[in-house]
Amino acid sequence: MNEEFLLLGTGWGHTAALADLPARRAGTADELQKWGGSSSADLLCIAHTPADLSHFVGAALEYRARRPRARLHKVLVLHPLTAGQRTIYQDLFARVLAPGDGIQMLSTNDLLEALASEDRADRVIGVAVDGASELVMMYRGNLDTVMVPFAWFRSPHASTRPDFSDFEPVDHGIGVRFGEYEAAVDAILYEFDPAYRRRVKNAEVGRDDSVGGSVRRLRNLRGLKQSDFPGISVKEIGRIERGEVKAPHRATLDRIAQTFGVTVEALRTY
Amino acid sequence: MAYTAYLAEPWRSRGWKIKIFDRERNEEPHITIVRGTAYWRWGLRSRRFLGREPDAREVPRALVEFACENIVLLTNAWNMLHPHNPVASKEVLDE
Repeated sequence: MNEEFLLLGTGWGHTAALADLPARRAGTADELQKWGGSSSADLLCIAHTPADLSHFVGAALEYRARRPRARLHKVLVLHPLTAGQRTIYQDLFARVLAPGDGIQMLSTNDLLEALASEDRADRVIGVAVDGASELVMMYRGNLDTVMVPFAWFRSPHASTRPDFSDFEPVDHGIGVRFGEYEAAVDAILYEFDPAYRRRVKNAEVGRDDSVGGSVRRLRNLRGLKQSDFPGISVKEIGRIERGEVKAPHRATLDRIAQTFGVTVEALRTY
Repeated sequence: MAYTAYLAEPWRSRGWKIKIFDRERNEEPHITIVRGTAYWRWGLRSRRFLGREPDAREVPRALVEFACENIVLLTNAWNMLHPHNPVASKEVLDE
């Protein structure tokens, strides 16, 4: 991983969860000057409190004076920010994540352990929900975000529909909970992050890379039946999925892709 | 509701969990064995680990035996949550 961590402030003590985190500490102005003023876009700054971050604002302002369009570092704050602080810091830094204002995060210990793991970017450390737009925004361990519509979190059982008023990342960020409903982050990233999908696909041994394999995976991912493809018989879909039709007609692939709401090229990436 | 298997001691206090999420990527029906930041997927059809990493040898043999002994319970839990991709499906799987 390319990310580096910079722990801001002096209140970290000997937090056990920090043991595995590849982090530098910046508790003094000199250390901030030494480590914090670099322009590394991958540097993730972690502040215990908003006060720890406020000491860093000077460096961010100085950086912006030199490069007006650039933003210094991604910032994670473990304690809630006021609305004013959030507004200011979001303007100063490349990205800001802090609990409060409708954002739920992993507990501090789980968060630091998740950040220390090699696959931190494939974990969800914070979640926000907007009921009006029916969207869930998830913050990954590198603070990149992924947006997921409510409709994606389906359940075959009315009794276990996701409750979007009660949510949090769980299990060190490999799951996200909405009430009693839990979704695997792996499933979310596979659907909404093409780069993740390609990476997972390439890593799987003995995988069926035929277009039929892609059709079968996406059909199951979307919870569709073989009878859900207008103009194509169940028998034909079954033959395509089993690889008995090596090169389906373009018109057939177009119809299948249309049912999924993707292009044929995108269909092949699943 | 996501399924969490009841694990006896000492596994529970050592932080081990066996889960089935409500929403999973399409792959062989499986349980997720979790401990801390590490997790493994174990297939309910093949009864083997689905990935090469992390090393499956880190999972105590007794936990795998627990899964094998409770395969009916775990299969029912999976089928309840994922009726479109049941463990007994005759469809060809590639994962």
